[in-house]
Amino acid sequence: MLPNTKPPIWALRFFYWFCHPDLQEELVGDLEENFYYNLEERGHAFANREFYCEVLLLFRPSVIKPLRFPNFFKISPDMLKHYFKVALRNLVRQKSYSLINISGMAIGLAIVMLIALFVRKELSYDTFHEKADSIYRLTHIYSFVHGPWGPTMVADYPEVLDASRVSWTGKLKTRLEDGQTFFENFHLAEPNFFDFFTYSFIEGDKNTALDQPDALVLTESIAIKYFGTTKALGKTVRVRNMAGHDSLLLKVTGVMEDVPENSHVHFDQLASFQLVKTGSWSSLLDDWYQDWVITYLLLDKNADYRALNDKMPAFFERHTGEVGGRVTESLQPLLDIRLHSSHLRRDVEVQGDINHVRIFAATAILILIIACFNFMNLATARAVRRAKEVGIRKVVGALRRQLLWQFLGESFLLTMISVLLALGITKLILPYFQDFLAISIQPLPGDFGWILSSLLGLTVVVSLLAGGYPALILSQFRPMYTLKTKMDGGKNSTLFRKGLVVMQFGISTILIIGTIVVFKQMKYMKNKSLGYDIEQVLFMNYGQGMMEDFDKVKGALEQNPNVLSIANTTDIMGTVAYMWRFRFDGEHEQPHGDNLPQFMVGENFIETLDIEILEGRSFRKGYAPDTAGFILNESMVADAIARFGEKWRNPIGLNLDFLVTRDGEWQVQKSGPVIGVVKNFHFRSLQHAIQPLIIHYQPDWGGRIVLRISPQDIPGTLAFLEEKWQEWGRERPFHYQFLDERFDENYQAEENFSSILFAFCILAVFIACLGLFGLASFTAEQYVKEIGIRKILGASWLDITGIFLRAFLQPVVLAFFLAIPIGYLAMNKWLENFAYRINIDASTFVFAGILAILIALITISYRTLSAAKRNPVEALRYE
Amino acid sequence: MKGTYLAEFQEIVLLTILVLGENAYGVTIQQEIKSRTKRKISRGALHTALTRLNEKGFIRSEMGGAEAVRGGRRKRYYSVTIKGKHALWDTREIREQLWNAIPDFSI
Repeated sequence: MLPNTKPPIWALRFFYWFCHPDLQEELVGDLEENFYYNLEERGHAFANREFYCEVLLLFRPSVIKPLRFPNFFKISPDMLKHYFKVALRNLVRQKSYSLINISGMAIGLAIVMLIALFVRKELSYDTFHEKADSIYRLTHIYSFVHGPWGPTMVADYPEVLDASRVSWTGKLKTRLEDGQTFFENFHLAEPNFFDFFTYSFIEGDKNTALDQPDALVLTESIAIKYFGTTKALGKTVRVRNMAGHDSLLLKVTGVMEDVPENSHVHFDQLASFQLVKTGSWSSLLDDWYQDWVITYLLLDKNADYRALNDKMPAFFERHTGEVGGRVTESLQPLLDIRLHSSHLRRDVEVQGDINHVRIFAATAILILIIACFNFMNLATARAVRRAKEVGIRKVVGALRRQLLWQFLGESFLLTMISVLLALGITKLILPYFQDFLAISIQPLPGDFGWILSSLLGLTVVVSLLAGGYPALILSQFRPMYTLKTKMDGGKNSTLFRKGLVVMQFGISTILIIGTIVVFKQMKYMKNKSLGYDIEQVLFMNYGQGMMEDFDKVKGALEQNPNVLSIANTTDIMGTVAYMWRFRFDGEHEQPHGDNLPQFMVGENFIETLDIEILEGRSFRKGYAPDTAGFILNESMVADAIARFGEKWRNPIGLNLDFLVTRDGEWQVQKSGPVIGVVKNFHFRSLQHAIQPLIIHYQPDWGGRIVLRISPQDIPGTLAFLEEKWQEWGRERPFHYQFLDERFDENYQAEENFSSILFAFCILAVFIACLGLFGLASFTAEQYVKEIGIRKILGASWLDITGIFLRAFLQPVVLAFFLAIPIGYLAMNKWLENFAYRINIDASTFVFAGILAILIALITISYRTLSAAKRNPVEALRYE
Repeated sequence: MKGTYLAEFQEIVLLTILVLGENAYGVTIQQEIKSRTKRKISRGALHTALTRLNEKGFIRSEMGGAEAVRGGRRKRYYSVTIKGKHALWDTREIREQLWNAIPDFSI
């Protein structure tokens, strides 16, 4: 007798949706009873309203059904516990397999972590400055530029907000109030330096610290070195020979935190740039040609630095009257400095190289791939073992999806263990890795969140990547087949496995080829004749006054019979050959000559270094035409012929002018004939082709003494030198460097690179071998019966071994052939960096191939031989 | 005596259940409280109170009595346990003691 109206449907549906099933009967009953009561008493509208209200008010914790596990997984929390137990049991049961898998993965992951730290460090340079995006550095062949450029940019272009210049004075002698003396680095900066760059001050105010001309800002370490404390405000320091001043008394106006490692420039002390304006260097400030100061520009947020670059030729024409020459002047973003400065000829510090970063990143990915392939291979191979389990699970009602998650979960567990292990390995190896690269890549405290999330991400990605395919395979097994017959995975999975081995060994072989080529190139560079004799040559920085003292110095040194030859010079091999202006016999488009590399040398230089003279002669002391003369190298002569005509085939006697700027004006510093031509020699590292070079007599600009000593009793000779140095009472402490060392410093980056490549190569090969070993073990077990039967039918252990080897070496050999073209192309590209390089010949590839095969053989030999020698009776006993 | 504390509303519900005797279920409790105390309570609030009382062990319940008006669904009948009765009695005692202790109460 119920009325035809029913309670509101949607409210009811909503209620059924959230209400706990056990409560539904009583509550819905009560709700409906009330509804009909209300319907009679107060009418339809009221009843409806009440119903809605009641339903909404029943939306409370005691009524709502408990949260169900997302149905997508079709797994309840209880099953998770079960899967976890099973996964652990499997890990323990198949100990050797788990061990191989985990260690391979852990090593791979450890490498990835190390490289990630390195890459992150390299990419983080200079990012701590707040205004980093708006700061640019002016460059002109060198990272030092001419004085007036910066301030004039501010005047000419509204988008250039400010310019800040920094001058590097090198190490100078300092004396404290209490008499202690030190020899430390100084930089001169303008008051707006701290507006540009973000540093924090421990003492003093960064906004005013550099205002006074006698200001001095110290970094924490230097302050402690000088005074034992950072509370150094007001203390005085006396400096000699800074910026053209003989002696200065500076007052400490600030102490700042040390410059962090990830900065493109490191300084210990900052003095005021004002000093340049008041000392004998002041003429440099208006000189548009001499490059000596580092200049930074602050650009407006919307400015485009490339547009500014395009305006530079016009800009220089406006200010210097020179037309069209200046294409090397450009702005460089602050954040690019660290990794993209290899085109600059001289930098305030040695910077990194983007190519290295890229190569390392690529290597990391490659190694990760190898490790994942390992996992995949071993997992699919072992899949056979779990076939029965899969079959039974499916019979009992497991869905394919559930099995998928089970196996993915297992791979996740394995990966997590590997990650933790990898963390441990990384922690252990980090100190050695850092020494290798000569950098520090400790994670910063703020990194913790990033590290955690990226580790998690890594675990998930790797477990999916590595475990995905095996999980798919496993979950696919049909119960009928698994329970009836013994599965072997069939043709397809074997093919897949072989494919994986090919990839692993392919990558490893490429790395081997790479390492060999790099080794050969380094060896070639080190041993190549440089065009002069670099053995047992050393040099010392004498400093000011060398010209006057040279006779005395020479006389003193010659007394030692182990000192074979003495020379003085400004420039020397392995350092930058600065470019100055030269006019060739008056014929030039540019009024002030061309910018060309040159070496300023002194007495005896060519002889001491044994440079071969092709035409003419070397400089003779005291012979005026000689000291005003010029010597050219072969490249320069060829260049001159091309540009100025055939007469330069016989350059001896033709005239050259050497120009410099004095007080902003061009002057001919020296004019004279070409007196000799020398054979080309490498004055820069072998990465660069031999450029044209002009050599002339000017030892007083640099004050270096060069010595060739005999190989006997080198320590004795060095002691003798030090003794003499003290006698001469020089300001700077005794310091010398062997020329070959200095030259090799140019190869530092390549050395590091080669060492690391070697290390990675070994690791990649190791991981691939782990995989191969696991596979070999597994196959040996699988085919126990087949081997047994073969042996009974008459096969010898040699035959069996043959079968195995053929099966396993096939992929390795295939990998080798695939690796050849890739390796060749890649290494060719790398070798393009060097003007003097080896040719990659067949011997490299043959060697790499033999090595790869040998390694593979050794890896599988143990398992193969033991399988082949097994007693067939034992093999067939168990069924 | 923690856990045996009897909140005010819960006390009312208990008393109402005793009043209703055999016929105490959701709808009747609601209506009885409404008519006697003029408080209109929602089924949800009542459900919470009943749940708390059940957790404390003051009431028990059982299913029974399906009816057409409820679409054939059964009702859940509630009754007060001995523990519940003790709790009621204690509460009453405390109230009376306090009332008696007032020296001079005049409205």
